[in-house]
Amino acid sequence: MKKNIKKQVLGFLLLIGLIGCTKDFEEINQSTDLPAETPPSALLKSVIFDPINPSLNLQLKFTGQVMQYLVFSNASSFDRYQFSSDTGVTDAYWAAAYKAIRDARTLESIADGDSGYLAAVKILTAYNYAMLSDLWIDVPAVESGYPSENTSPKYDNQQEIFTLILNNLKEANEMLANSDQNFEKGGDILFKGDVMRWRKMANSLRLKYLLRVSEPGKYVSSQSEFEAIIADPATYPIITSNEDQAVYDISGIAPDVSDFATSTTLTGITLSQRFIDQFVNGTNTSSADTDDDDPRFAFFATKSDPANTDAYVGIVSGGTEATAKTVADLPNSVKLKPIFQQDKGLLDYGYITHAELQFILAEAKLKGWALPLTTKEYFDAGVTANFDFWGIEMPVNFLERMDVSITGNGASNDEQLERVFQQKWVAGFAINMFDIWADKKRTDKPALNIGVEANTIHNTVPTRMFYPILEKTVNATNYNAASSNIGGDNITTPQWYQN
Amino acid sequence: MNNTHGIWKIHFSTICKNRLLFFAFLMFSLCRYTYANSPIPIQQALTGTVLDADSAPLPGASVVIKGTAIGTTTDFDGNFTINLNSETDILLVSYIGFVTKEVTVGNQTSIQVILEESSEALDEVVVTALGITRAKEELSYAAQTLKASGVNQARTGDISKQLTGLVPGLRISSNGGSGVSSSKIVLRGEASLDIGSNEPLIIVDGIPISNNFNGLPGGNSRANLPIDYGSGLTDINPDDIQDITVLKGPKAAALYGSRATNGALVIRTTSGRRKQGLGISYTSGISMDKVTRFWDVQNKYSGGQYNPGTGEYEYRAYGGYGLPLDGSNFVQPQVEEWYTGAGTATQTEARPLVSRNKSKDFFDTGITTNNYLSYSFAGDDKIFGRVAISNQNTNGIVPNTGYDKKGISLRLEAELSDKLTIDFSGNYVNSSSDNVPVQGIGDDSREALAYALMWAPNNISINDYKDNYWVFNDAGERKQRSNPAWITNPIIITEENLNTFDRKRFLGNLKTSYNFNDDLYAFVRVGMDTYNDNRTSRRAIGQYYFPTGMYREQKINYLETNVDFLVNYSKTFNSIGLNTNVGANMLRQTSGDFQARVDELAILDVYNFGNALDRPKITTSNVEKRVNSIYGSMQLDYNKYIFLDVTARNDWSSSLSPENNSYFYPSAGLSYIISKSVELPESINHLQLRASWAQTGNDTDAQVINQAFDYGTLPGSTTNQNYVVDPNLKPESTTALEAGLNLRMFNNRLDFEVNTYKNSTKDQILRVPISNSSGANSRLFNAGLIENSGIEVLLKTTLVSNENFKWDFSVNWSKNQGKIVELTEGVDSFIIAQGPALPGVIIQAVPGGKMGDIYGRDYKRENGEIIWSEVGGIATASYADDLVKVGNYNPDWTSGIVTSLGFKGINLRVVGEYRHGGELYTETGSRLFQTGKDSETLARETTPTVVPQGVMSNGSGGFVQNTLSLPYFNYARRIRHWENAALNTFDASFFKLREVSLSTDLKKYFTKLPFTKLTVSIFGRNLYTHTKSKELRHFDPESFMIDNGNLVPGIESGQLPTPSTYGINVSIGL
Repeated sequence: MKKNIKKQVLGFLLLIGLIGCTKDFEEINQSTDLPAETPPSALLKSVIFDPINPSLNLQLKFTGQVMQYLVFSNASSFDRYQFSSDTGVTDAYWAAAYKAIRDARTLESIADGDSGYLAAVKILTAYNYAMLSDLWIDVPAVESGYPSENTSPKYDNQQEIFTLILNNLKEANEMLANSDQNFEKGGDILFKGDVMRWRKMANSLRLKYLLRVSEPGKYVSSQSEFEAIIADPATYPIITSNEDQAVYDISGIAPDVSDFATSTTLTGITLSQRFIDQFVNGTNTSSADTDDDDPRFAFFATKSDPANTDAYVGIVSGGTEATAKTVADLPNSVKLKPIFQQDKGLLDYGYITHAELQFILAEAKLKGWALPLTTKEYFDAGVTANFDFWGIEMPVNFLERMDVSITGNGASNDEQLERVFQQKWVAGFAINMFDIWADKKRTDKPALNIGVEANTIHNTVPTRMFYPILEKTVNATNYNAASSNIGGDNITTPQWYQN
Repeated sequence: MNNTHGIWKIHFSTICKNRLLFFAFLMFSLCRYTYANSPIPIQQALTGTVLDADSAPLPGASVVIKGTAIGTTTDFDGNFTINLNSETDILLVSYIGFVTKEVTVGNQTSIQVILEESSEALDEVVVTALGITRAKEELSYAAQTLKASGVNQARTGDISKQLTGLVPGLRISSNGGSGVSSSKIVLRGEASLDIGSNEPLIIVDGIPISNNFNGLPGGNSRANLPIDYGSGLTDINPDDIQDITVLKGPKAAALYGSRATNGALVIRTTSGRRKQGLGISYTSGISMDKVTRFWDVQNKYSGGQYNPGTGEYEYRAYGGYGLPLDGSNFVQPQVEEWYTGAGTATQTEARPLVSRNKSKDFFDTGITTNNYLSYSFAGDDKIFGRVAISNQNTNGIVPNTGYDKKGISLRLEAELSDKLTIDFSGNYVNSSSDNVPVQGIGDDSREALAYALMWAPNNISINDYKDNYWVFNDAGERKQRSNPAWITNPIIITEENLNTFDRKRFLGNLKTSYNFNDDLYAFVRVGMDTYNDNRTSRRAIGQYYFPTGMYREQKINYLETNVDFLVNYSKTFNSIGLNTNVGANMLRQTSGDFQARVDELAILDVYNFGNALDRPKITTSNVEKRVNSIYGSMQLDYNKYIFLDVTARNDWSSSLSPENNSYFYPSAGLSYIISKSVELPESINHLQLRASWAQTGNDTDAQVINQAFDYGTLPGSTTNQNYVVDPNLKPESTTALEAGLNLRMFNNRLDFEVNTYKNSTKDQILRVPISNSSGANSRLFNAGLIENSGIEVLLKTTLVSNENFKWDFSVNWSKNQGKIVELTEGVDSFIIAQGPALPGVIIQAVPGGKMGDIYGRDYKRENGEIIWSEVGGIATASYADDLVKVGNYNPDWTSGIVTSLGFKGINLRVVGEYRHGGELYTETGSRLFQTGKDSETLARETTPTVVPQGVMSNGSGGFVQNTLSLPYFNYARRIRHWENAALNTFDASFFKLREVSLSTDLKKYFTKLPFTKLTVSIFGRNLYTHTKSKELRHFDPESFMIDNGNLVPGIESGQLPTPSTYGINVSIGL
C-alpha cells in the first residue's frame, strides 16, 4: 500500500514537472496571421497610398471649405473659421502622415541599398513634412517616426523643416540620377518604376517649395536654386505635360477609391457661391465681360432641381447656418454633380500637377525671376493643362476672354498675379485643394470674401490648425515649446514663410 | 527569488531544475505526517454517513462527541469514523447551514445522520476554490453563497440579472432591450484601467468559462454597429444551477489564477444525488416585457424648426419644434423621399394636424417562454445522473427582434469502486437570433433606432413609416422614404437591417477522483468551454446611411481547455486539523475571428458576397495562449476555532517574454471564531474575526508582445502596427488586504457581517496613447497604480418566525472607491473610453483622480458662470479649450434590500436596490432638446426669449451679469448641446424595485398525486425606477454605451429602454 502510494505520488509529480517547461511558449506567442517581416515593395505601397485618403478627406472637409470651394449645407464650422469644434479630419491626417513617415523609415532600413526605395522615401516624406508644416507650422520631423525609440518627438521649427524638405528633394534627384538599382522588388504604385517621373516629381516639388519660402529674408537662395533647376533640365528634369505629372491615379476599385466617390462622405457638402462667382459671374470685375460661361462649371455643377431655369445661387462661405439652410433648399441652388461617384476612377490625387507647376512658373516669372518663357505662356499652358486634365474641350479664344486672359485690360503686375492664383484655384479643384491655402497665406491671393459669421471670429483667413488635442497630454513639453516658438497655438498665428 | 517588483518571481530555469526536488520534499513531509501519527486508544469504532434531506452527502460536516474535544469531519462522500469512549456518548453532528443534531449512538456501529437545512442561515456553506465546500466560518475572506431556488423565484433566463442587489460589493448593470443583453459585473470596484477586463471569473463546476462580450474590434467605420450579442453568462441556464458562490477579491480566488484577480462567481450545477421521487422535474414559465419607462416627450407640437428670420416656429418633417397639434388643416408630407432629385413632398393634401405618434408606440410587448425538463436517476447508490433539456424563446420589445436558446445538460457521477469516482458535467447550448437590435447613436450611426425615433415628428404615426418605405426614382434606383429624409426609416431598421447570430457552445468537464485512503485523495479534471458564433449583418440598398447596402459576416471560434491535477491530504491531530493540497493546471486558449464585409451590393435584397460590386474586406485573427500553473494550499485549524490558510501559486504564461513569463503569488489568511474559544454572553451565537492578505499576478493578451506587420489598405501592402511594446513588459500585480467580522445573535436571528478591504493593482499592462507623431498611436507597457478600498455590510434578520408566519429581512450596503494613485512618468492622463463626439466626453484616469472620472467639454466660464457673448445678434457661448471633470460613473455607495415573508407556505420576496451618487452623461437627453421632443421644451411657450443665467463681458476685461438674450429654440440647443459634457451629465442616484415575487408549493393540495413539488410563482422585475435627477427620467440610469467590444459605463447614447417584466413560473416534481 505504501509503495503504491509512493509510485502514484511520483507519477503525479512527474506530471507537474511538465507544467513549468515552456519551450514552445515563444512560438505560440508569434502571430500566425501577420508577417514578421515584409518585402520593401509591400511597405512602399502603404507609404504611398495610406495618407492619400486622409489628405483628400482633409481637403474635402477642411481646406476645401477654408478656401471656399465647398460649403456644408448643414452644420459646419470650417468655412466660418470656427476650427476648434471639430478636429477629426486634421487629427486623422496628422496620424496618417506620421504613420506613413514611420513606414518610410522602416522601408529605408530594409531597402538594401535600392536607390528607388530610398529616393521615394525621401520625396514622399518631404511632401508629408510640407503638408504637416503648412497645417501646423512647427511639427515633429527629425525625431518623428521612431516610436520604439521616442514616443514624444520634439517639434522642429518650420525654417529647418523646409530646409530639410528642399535638401531631401535635391538628394533624391541626385540619387536616382546616379543609380542603376531602382525598385528592384517592385511595389511602385505611383510611377510603375519610372525613375524619370520620380525625378520630375522631386524637382517640381522643389520648385513649389522654393517659391513658398521665397519671401524676402526667408530662404535666401530660393531664387537662385529655382533658376538653376529651370536652366538645367538635363540635371533637373521637371514635369512638362499631363502625362508625366505627379499624381496618384486612383483606380476607383475599393479599397483604392477616394472619399469623393463615397456619397455618404459628400452628404451635405456642396459647391459655394464663390464657385459660381469664379466660373459664371467672373471675378475679374474690371471687365465687362459677357462671354459664355466657363465650360468646366457645367462639368462640376448642377441645380437642386435640374429643370429650374433661374440663375444659380450658392451658399456664401462663412454665412449663418440659417441662411445656408435656406439657400440649400432653393430649387436653383448649386449642387455638386455626382461625377466622382459615377466614375470612381475620375479623380487623381495631385502631389503636383502640370497645371500647378505652370502657375508656379508664371508667378516666378511675375516676380522677375529668370525664366525662358513669358508669363502668358506659362499661364496659358496651366489653364490648358487643366482643361486637358478633365478632358473638357476648351472653347475657341477662351484664353483671350476678358475674365480669363492674364493680360486682359492691361492688367497690372498685381492683377496678373491675382489671375494666376484664380486659375490656380480653379485648377486645384478636387485635385489639390491644399496648396492654394499656402499661397493665400503667403500672397493673400486669390481674393476670398470673409463671411459675416467668420468675420465675428477672425477677420482674416486662418493660417493654421490647432495642434491635435492629444499632443497637449502625451507630448506636453514639446507641445508647449512649439506653441510658444510659433507665437501661440492659434489659428491665426502666421507661418514662418509669410511676411 | 526577486522581490523588487512586488511579485515574487521564480526564475524559469531555476524552477525547472528544482521543481522535482521541491515537490518531493513537500510530499515527503506529508507522507511522514500520515504515518507518524500515533492512534488514540480504541474503545468503540463507529462509522457513519451524514446526508442532507435529499440524501446528498455532506462532506466536511463536523462530528464531535458532546462534552469533549474529540471529533472528526466527514470525508468527500459524507462518511466518517469516530472512536467512542462509551455507549452513552452523544454525537453532535453539525454542518453550517443545517440544524445541528444530537445523536445518541447506543451500541450501533454504523449510523446514518440526516440533517435538516436551517432556515435561519441559508448562506453559510460556500464553495471555495477548486470546488471544495467549506463552512463559511472557516474562511479568512468574504464569500457569499446564493441558492438557485431563491434567485430563480423570479426567473429571467439570465442568471446575472437575478443577482442584482443581493450581494454587497457585487454590482451588476444590465443593458437595455430584452432577450439577449449583456450584463456588466463589477466586484469590489474596477482594478484595471482596461475596463473590459474588470469582470470576475465565472466558474462552472470547477471550470472557468468565458464571459467575453465579443463585440467588434476597433475602428470607426459605420459598419461597426453597436450590437449586443450577449455575454457568456447568458448561455448558462438558471435552472441547471444549484448554487452560486460569490468569492470576493484576489484572496478568495488565489487558486483560480490571475483571471480571478477580480474575484469569481462559482456556479455549481445540480447533481443527480438530489433525486427525489421519480426524479422528473418540469418547469415552465412565461413572462412579458413591457416598456414602462421611456422618453418623456411633449405631444403638443408637430415637427418643426424655429425661423430666426420671422421669429416663428415653422413646420418641418422632423423633431418637435413645430406647429400646435390643434387639429387645423395643414399640408404634412407623410414621408419624405431621399435623394430622388425631385422635391420631397409626397402628399399635397391638407390634413388635420394632430398627435399621431407617442414614442412608446414603437415598442412591442416582449414575450418570453421557457420550458425545462430534467430527469434524475440513481443506480445502486453508485451512479447518479441528471439530464435536462431546455428551451427559451424571447420576442423582444423592439419589433422583429428576438432570441432563442436551446440547451441540453448532463451530469453523471459514478462510484466505480470505493476509491474511484468519476463525475461528468456537460452542457450544450445553442443561442440564436434572427435579429438583434442595434443600440446607441455612436459617432455616425444615424441608422440607429433611437436616433430615428427622436427625430420622428409627433404628427406622423409609426404606421406611416410602415407604408411603402421604399420608392424607386426615375433611374430605377431604390430609395428610402422617411421623416426626416436623413434618418433611416425605423421600420427599415427593424425589418430590413437584420443582425443575426447563431452560437453553439459546449461546456463540460470530466473529473476522476481517487481516494487513496481516508486522508488522501487526488483528482484529475479535464474541462472545456468552446463555442462557435456565426453572425451576419445586412443593410438594405437605398437607405440614407448605406445607400449601396452592406453585408457582413463574422465567425468567432473559441476553445479553452483546462487540465487540473490535485492531491489533497487532510487529517486531524488532536486539536490540530490539517488540510493541504498541491495541484497543477494547464490552460490552453485558442480563439479565432473571421470578418468579411462588402459595402456595395448589386441586386436588391440578396445578401451574399457574390452579390457585391466591391472586393470583400476580410480580416482574420487566430491567437493561442497557454498558461501553466502549479499551486498549493494549506489550511490549519486549532480546535476548529482558529484557522490559518496559506496558498501559493506560480504561473507561466505564453503571452509574456521568456524573461518575464513566470510569476509567483502567495496569500495568507487567518480566521478566529471568538465565540468558540471564549465564554461570551448567551445572546451571542457566533462571533468571528478574519483577515487576509493576497497577491496575484496577471499577464496580457496573446501575441501582442511579438510585433509583426499589419496588412495595409491596398491589397498586398504592409504597414507597421499602430502600437509599440515595451520590451521589458512584466506581469501586473495586485495586492489585497481584507478584514472582516461576523456576528450572529439571538438564536441566529440576527446575522451581521462587515468586511473591509484595500486592493492595489500596479504595473498594469496598458496601451497608453502616445504622440501620433511618433508614427504609432499607443505603447503597451506597465503603468499605473490603482487602489480600491471599500467596506461591505450585510445584515440579515428574522423578524418573525413561528409556525405560520416567517419574516426575513436583509439589507446590504457597500462602498468602494477606486483611486488612481499614479500612471507613469510623462503620462498625465489615460483615456479609458471615449464617448460620442470626441472630445465631447471621455472616461479618463488622471493621477490623484478616481476610477470612473468623466471628463468633457464645457463652455468658457468665469467664476463658474457661463460667459455669454453676442454673435449674429443673439447670445452664444463658446467652448473652453481644456476638458473639465464633469462627474464619475461609480456610485458613492450602493444598498440592496431583500425581504421575504412566508405565510402558510406562501412566500413573498421583494428585492430593491438603491445606488447613491455617480453620474451619467446622456446623449439622448441632449438630443431630445435638439429635436424639441423633450417635454421641457414646452417652455418655449412661456419664455419665447431667454436671458440665460451667466455673465458677459463688460467691455473692459471684466464681467457683468448677462443681459444678452436668445430665442428659446437656440437656448435649448445651446444649453443642452450634446458636445457639452458638463451640461449633460447628471447625478445618477436611483432606486429600483428589482423584484417582487410570490411563490407557493401546492403539493399539499394534491396529496393523491405523486408530486414531490408543485410550485407556482408569479413575479415582476424592474417594476419601478426612481432617479434623483429629473433629466434622467427618460431612460434606465444604469445604461451604458456599447463601444466596439466594450461596455462603457457613465455614458448613455441612445440605449434601448429596460422593460418591466411580469411572469409566471410553474415547477412540477414527480
